Amino acid sequence: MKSILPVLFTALFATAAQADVFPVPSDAPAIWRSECSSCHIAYPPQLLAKPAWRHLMGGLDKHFGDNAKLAPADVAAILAFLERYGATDGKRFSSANGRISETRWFLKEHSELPATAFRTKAVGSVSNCAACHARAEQGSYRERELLGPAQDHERSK
Amino acid sequence: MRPSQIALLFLLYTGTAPAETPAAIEAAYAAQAGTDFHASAVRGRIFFTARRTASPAFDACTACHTDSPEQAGRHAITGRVIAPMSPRLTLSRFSDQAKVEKWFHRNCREVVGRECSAGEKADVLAYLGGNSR
Repeated sequence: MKSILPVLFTALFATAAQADVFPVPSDAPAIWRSECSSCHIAYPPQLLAKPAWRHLMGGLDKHFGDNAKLAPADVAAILAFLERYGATDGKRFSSANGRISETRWFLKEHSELPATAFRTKAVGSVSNCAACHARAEQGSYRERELLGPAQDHERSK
Repeated sequence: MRPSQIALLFLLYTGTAPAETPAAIEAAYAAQAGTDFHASAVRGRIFFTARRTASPAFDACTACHTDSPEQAGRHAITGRVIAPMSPRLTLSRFSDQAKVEKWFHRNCREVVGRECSAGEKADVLAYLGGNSR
């Protein structure tokens, strides 16, 4: 037990420290970055389970109220990447309507916020991660990087 | 000889796309629209600001791009900031013909409910780019 404790501790600590950082994998295809960040930031593949990504990429012509249809070769290249890095925990990282913002993980992370927080003029939509997370585009969602109202909320706790 | 004809000849002569500048991309669309066509910034503004019914979330080009090419816009659904359409403020704007065509294709179907004509594209570029009268 003595010998395993430090290992356990390190593993736990590493998990906690990693929970709010989703580094962009170095083999991310350029087409993923350019296409998926056209209308919103390119959401980290780690935030949705693999089957959920498959479903999403299969219905881009009806993409949450927008037609985001791509050439089949581009869909294939992006999906291959999403399947390499997509979450394996389907319970925490999928939702009935396919939105990241309605996964258990997301809801838990934002449970302290009133629903109205996402509808302010500055934020506009729950899709707009970068409105509160200064380094969202780099895949970093640390609390100390929070901006504006979200930062005030964090401080008032 | 008209500018659009010159552009067309240039295209025929070189056999490749012209230098990808806002003016050249506009000229290529104008040439495509016909020999008698002249791009109009006034028509472009009317087209760009017209209220439409094809998509409830995007009821005009201005729903995301604002009614000023000099102002930053926001995606009407996601809230993502969109850099000003004016190439004077956003230097990379209209500098890649394929990208311009991709967005016309995508946004015309979404907002207008059909493909835009070459003339409409030339007009919009004349308005946003400020190259034509």
